Amino acid sequence: MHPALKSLAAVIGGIAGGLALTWASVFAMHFGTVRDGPWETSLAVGSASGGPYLRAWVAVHGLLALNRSETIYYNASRDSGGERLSGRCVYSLMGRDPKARWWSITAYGPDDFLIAGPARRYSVSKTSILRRGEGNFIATVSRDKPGADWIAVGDGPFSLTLRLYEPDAGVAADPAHAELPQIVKERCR
Amino acid sequence: MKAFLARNGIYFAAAAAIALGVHAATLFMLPHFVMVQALAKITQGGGYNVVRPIARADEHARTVVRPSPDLLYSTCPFDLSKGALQVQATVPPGTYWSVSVFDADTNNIFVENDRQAKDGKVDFVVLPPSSGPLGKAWVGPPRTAIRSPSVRGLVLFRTLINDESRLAEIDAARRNVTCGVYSNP
Repeated sequence: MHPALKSLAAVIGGIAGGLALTWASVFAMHFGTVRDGPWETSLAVGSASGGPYLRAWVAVHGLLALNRSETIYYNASRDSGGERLSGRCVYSLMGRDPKARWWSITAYGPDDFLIAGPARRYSVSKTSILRRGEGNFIATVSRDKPGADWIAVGDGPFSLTLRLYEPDAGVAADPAHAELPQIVKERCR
Repeated sequence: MKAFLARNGIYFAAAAAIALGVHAATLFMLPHFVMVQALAKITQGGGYNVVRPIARADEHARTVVRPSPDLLYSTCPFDLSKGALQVQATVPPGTYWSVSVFDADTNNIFVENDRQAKDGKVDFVVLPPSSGPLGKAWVGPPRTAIRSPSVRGLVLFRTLINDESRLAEIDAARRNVTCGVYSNP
């Protein structure tokens, strides 16, 4: 191969390699992530500290998010059994009120935006959900309407975000051991 | 293989050096790039240093990922090149409310919520990063001052819709905010 072509290949390969490294750093690595059942949260979101890797990760995954004492954001892309969430299945969100001033659970599509649909039932929250015995609640996540307390999703994959506004101090200090709703798969089409 | 590497080692070394340089540069610039993109979307059809009440998020909201449909957002993208920014707000009663400030690298440099606001009012000044005359704007109690590390950034107001029957009232109350270039008294 001509030296000029080798040089060109080195430049193109170097640029591609550098971009791939950055992509892997931001999308394949999990900085400060802790798990609580099917829910994950990053201790880094809302923080201005850390090195360039952490700052890049937070910019992409936690843009305009608040710090942990103000709001905790938990995400789930799998159910409590470890299977990926899919609009082909029906799920029950079961639990008690998380310890926070206010909470909500919202469904998002793979593009990280709200899921289009005629029902416009994007979320359930502390003030919208019905309580059963002893303060327990059950909400349904599905494509088709099952009744009250419903989050509508499409046919494809989706994820859920649980927001805790002004969480109790114990939850903010140890978000991996908070009492959070289970995501139970009921049936699939 | 050894002969191949011996003949082309310098090219592999150059490619590795370029890869490290590109990686470092893109990693360093990424937060700024993300915020520039967000500010470009937010300031469409308007400018800086004015409050924009955003419509309630639905499936058509495409400005910032994972918007909450239970919040009413208002934004004030700021540009401190002409001076400090003054933010004043009356907190909507009976619900969660917060104001937060983000610099051009997406860092959350300030937050205050409805329970922290004294007498239901918020009044603060965002100072530019320079230590020159623009950075010496007079600020006195009870007004607080925040030094922004960047000339541009974003003030974000969140108001919780904790009761759908109060939506119109909450929407009206969240508009009691002003944001503009600070006039030194």
